[in-house]
Amino acid sequence: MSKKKIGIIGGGISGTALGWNLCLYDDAEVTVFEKGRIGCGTTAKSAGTVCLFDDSLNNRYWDVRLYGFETYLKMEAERKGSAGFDKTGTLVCATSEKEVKRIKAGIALARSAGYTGEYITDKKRIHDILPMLNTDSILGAGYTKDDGYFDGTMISNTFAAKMEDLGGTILRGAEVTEIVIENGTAKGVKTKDGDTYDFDVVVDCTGPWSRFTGEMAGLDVPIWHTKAEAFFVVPPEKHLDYVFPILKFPAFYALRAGNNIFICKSHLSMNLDDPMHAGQWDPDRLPEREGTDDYFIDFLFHQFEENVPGLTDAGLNSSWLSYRAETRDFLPIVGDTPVKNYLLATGYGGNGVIEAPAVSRDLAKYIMRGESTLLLEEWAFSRLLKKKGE
Amino acid sequence: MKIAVCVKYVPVDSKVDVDPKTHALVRSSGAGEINPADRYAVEMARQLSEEDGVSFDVFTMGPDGAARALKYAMALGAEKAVLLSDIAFAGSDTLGTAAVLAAALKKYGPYDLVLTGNASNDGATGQVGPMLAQMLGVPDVTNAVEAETDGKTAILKKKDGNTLYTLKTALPALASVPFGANTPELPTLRHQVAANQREFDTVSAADLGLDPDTLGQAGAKSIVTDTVNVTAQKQGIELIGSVDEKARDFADTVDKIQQAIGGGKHA
Amino acid sequence: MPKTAVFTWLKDGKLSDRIAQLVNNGVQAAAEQPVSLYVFGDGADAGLAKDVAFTGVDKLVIVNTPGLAFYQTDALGQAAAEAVQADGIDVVVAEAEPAGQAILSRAAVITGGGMTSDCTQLRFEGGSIRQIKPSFGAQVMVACEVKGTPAYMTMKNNGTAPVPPDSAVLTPELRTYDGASAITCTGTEPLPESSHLTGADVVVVAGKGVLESGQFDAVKAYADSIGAALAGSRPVADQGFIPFDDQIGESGTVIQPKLSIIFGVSGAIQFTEGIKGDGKIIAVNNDPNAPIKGFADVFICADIGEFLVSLKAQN
Repeated sequence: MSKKKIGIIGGGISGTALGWNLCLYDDAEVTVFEKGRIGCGTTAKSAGTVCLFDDSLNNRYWDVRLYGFETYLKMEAERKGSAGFDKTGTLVCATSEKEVKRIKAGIALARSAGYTGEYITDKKRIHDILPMLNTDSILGAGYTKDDGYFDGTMISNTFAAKMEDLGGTILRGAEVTEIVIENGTAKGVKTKDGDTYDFDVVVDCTGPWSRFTGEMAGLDVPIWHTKAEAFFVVPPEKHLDYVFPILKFPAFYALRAGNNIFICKSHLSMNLDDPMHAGQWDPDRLPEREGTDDYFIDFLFHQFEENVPGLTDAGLNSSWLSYRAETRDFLPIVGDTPVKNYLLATGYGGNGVIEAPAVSRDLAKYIMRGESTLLLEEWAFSRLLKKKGE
Repeated sequence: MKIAVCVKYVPVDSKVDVDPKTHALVRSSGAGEINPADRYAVEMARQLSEEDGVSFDVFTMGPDGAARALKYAMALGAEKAVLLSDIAFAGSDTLGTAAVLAAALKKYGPYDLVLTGNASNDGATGQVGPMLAQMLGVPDVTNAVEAETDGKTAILKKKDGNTLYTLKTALPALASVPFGANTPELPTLRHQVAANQREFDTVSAADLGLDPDTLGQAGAKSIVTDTVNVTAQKQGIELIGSVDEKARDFADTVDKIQQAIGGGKHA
Repeated sequence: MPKTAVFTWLKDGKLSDRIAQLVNNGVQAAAEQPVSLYVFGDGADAGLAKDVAFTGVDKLVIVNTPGLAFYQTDALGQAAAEAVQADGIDVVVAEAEPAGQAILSRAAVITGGGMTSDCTQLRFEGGSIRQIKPSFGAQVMVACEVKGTPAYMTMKNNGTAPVPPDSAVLTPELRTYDGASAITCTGTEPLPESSHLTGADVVVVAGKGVLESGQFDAVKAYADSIGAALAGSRPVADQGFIPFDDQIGESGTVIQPKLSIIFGVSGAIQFTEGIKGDGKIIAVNNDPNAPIKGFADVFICADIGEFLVSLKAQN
């Protein structure tokens, strides 16, 4: 049997999820190139929230969300800790009638799939779930106990291990420095060590590095970086005697991380035209910690004054800055590009952990059998090209 | 009683790369933070300042970005914050740094107690504290984990190996505080946001009446001439063999390191 | 030829065991010429001469500093500076340990000399002394030079060969330094082997791999046996094996021990960012590709359970 040789650039959640899905086809020969460590880049700084009624990925893509969530639940059931699941539940706060409707639809969808979920207007009950909240500022809140957050690095490493079990190859510390293009067709890659690899298909899974990766293929990948500035704070009472759920407001979210609370401005509230929010930067120059701007801590403080007064006197423990790879419509770019046999699975923005399983499932089938899906059609590169021409 | 805390703004990343053309060291990012040990010096000052009539100021020498270290201390209660910033300060060795700090402390002082971190994470020489003390003509205690003062004398507890020495000295004096000395209070969001808005002084060589030729690269007496060897990643070793051999080599390695860090000092 | 001297201080009445190495460093700095040796200490007398009879030393000065202990650096700095000035010493070599470092820092200020600390090697080249030292968290070795004299250098223990003992014992020049210190000691107390986690010199860290192999108790016992503080990664804290306060990492406690021994931690940055400084790191993991390998000075790939059984059998 002649095998289809696929090279994947990037060993984060995108590359490892795709690598594993491809290895499920016995005629695929898969190699992942990771210049650092598996799941070490943007993936490592992901909050990893996969919420059943989430605002970060529209209800239109409910199946994508559910598929991601259940993939990780099964991963966790196979081997405890392999997806780093912390089942804290989620409280999504509504500040407008429009959000009430969206949250209620999310609850209906979650219940349809057999999960619990309810929309609560009784302020006392909301207060019982999260005592530090100012319930006056909200109309109500959607709540489920069934979801929580995962660990993107753990998931990537688990996908990587599963992929290697199926015969896939992971090259760690292998930096791709050239994409071999002949007659407008991708033929392989070269690495920093000077090795050349031939492939039938090359897939860019490099997230915020995609501009640079795309340049090697002569491709302008239309992604921007938005800043994900996360702060770890210690609530004034130091040890909370309740489970702090994932807390979602339109402009920010919070979740527990050990004894601390992780807080961040939400990715959909980022404006690609605001230079404080978005730009084109070099992810290689990101520090592992710190590097944050006063702007974000000021922003979050004012959000908390209004909505979560219990956190305004929280202690600032540490922070980090990450770059999300965002497209103009905040949806990923998946599949074919103008360069033949050079595919993308990038631009997940803040949603890589949520979206990678469903995207990888569909993209693997497309690569191996040529069959597209509705999802791939909606998230195709061509949608962005058309907009460009308009 | 007035306390001065001298802090350093250090790079977050210890990772370095070598520029393939110039062979100069380049850090992967410009991000910095207050030197980890200096948090403990700030905390010691903060605790002492809970007493009536005790206040603390914070000083740092560095580029504009170093103001972040000042803002951290301001969020924890520093009264005055001073950024010592001048192109003439760039490339200072430990003596040059101490000289600038000494001039600033004289300008803003006198201070009864000067606190520093025991050593910085990047340079890690631990020299600036003692040098600064000598320039100020005061005694110094390094590795001081606790301080108590009545405004005239200070009781400083110094950790040395597995012994804690209780040392007493008249003020003014200087103490260097190690990482882990206490449990630093965290700046709250509220205080940090307020501190980010606060003014601080920016002071140049001329403001301090210092001759630029004696400062920075020009005045440095200990200079780095070249880079001998660079390893981008830590070159670790792997112990191999049977599990018993690995366990034996492991135990030997742990023993050796423990002896070495006991200081080989007749532990 | 610059006048080179090795300085050493008695601590609790005892000589350092690194003097013969320092003499070798000094001789290398002095282009293979012999050096002077200065021993400072409370009650230091001629009786020490036979204990410091080393080849490569052609002059021995013993400076009695009555009543002064290692922490009285104000007076000891003055004593060192006076020796440098009185004898016109150009180069001082000493051990890179906290007391000596503080004393020489003060002496450098008094004498207007430059100082390079934590050197691992000294080489006399082209008329000057190249001081090789680690920098940037020991990832890079840099060469330094001190401009002018006197020049002070402190030496890390980097396995320099000690010079051999000399059968001929030098007649020491005996001096006394009478200066007083502003510092007095009112008491001492012993510290427990490992106080709290952030200040501990040696930390043993248990990760998820330890839980998976059911070896938490064995790791804890090992930590106790070597007097180390015990900490864990997030999954270990999440599952209640250690308090959250003892969880190492970005979202937990940041430590800076001299030695970290890490069992069963994969090494995601959330974890590795919790260990700072240039302490040694030893990691044991059953995954030969675990990212922690790139973070460790010494890596061992082994089944945690088998490894601990074997380790226990060693003692």
